[in-house]
Amino acid sequence: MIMFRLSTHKELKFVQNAIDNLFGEKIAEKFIQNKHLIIGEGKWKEIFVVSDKMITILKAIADKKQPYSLGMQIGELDKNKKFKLSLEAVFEIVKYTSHKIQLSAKGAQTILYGRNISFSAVDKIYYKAKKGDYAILLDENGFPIGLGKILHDFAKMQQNQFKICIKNIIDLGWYLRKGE
Amino acid sequence: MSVDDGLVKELAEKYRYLNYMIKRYLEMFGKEETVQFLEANEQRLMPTLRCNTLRIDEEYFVNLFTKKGFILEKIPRIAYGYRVFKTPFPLGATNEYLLGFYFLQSEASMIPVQELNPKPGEIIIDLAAAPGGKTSQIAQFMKNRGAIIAIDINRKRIKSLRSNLSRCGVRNALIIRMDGRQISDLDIQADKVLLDAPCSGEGLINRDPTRKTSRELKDILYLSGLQKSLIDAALTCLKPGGSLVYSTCAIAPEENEFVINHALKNEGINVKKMDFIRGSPAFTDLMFGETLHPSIKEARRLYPHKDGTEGFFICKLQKDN
Repeated sequence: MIMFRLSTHKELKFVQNAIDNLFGEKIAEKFIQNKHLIIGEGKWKEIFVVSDKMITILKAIADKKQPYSLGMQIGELDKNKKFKLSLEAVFEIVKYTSHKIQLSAKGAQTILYGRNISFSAVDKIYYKAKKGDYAILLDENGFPIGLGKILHDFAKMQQNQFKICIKNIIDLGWYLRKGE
Repeated sequence: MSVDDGLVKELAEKYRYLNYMIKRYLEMFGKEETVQFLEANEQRLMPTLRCNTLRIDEEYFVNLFTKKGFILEKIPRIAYGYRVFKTPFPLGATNEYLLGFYFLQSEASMIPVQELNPKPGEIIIDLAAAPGGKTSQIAQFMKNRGAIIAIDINRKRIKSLRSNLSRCGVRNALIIRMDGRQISDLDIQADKVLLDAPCSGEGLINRDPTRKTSRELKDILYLSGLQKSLIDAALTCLKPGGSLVYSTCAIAPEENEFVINHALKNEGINVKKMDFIRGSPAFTDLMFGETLHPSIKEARRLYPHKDGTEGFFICKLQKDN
């Protein structure tokens, strides 16, 4: 059973730092501000962002029934305490970060099938991407469709045209593969 | 009303229904309209979708989809609703679907939330929420402000509810897996309640022809009991002055008018006239042995042969202040 509670200050800072380290300073604050961080604690920890009104309801029902889910799930802390970002968080973060890579239509389809990306599928890189970075992947119309891990520095990518240059971390195809 | 047994048998054989269903249709509609209804059930309905403005601007979406070769037509008087005349790709597998730009939702099923008219900041209970079409529509009307308490009991369906709300960018829902009949245990008073009740699905025969033979009358009576318990529970958690919309995709009066008739036995509960003017007035004459309250005529029935939708029932109730 998952028990829901307000995050501790330490947990809040941990999540904020995890997001900021991946996407730039004060990114987390921009979409968490005036909201609350809730931890759903079961076999692992799920992290949710919720409004004041939902906190009031959660408190009112907490001793009668625990929810299944609430607000916006922004990620999980796995067994090794590693923060895994959710698709919902990607939709928020994309509004504020420059860590974005636009793919061709074919590249977008590749990502949505859960596969990795070659350099030829990259249309535009919005920042100076470095090996190990995480970037939000955009489709040909500029809409976020997933999250990728950069496998090579941008300069090397251009020179070498690597077969695989972005590893698929999460993508919207999840909703078809596992979501329903 | 007595019906011709020979006609019952003939129509049941021709359209492959259980005899009791045809007999009841003849009692409810008469011969001519029954045949029209059965014929309409053989036709596929046009696909419809609701543009999800939590994720995309409506005009932008229409332009984007039109460029991709889809032909859309706005459904009159249904906010964000579109009929899809041409679909070059399956609607459930486009990038735009995954992006949550639309929800595949039937025309009739968009009406209950429109009648409920949720407002930003309110507390809304959605008592049988999975798979989330109407829940996400509520969130859309609320602009993700306020709170939706989305209840469902089914373990598998609640996963799909969560996934759909996530896909559609719903941020103000609190999902609880529980029996809706126990909702009063939570001690929550809502501004509005949606009860799109679990039903026999008799109105969906044009989508699921197995329904022609899959349910007996005893199943309808069982569901009617469940629906009455659910509406009683729903009314207990409605604030004074609050409103409840009850809907089903059922044809049987036991699942519709009888449930409302039962709800009206609660003190201070009245049927409210709806803004939506399509459809036929609900039954108010003596029906299958039950005398119905005259105010139930304000509820609406939609039919495939009259309205081009699945069979549907909608009623709005209000609790006195």
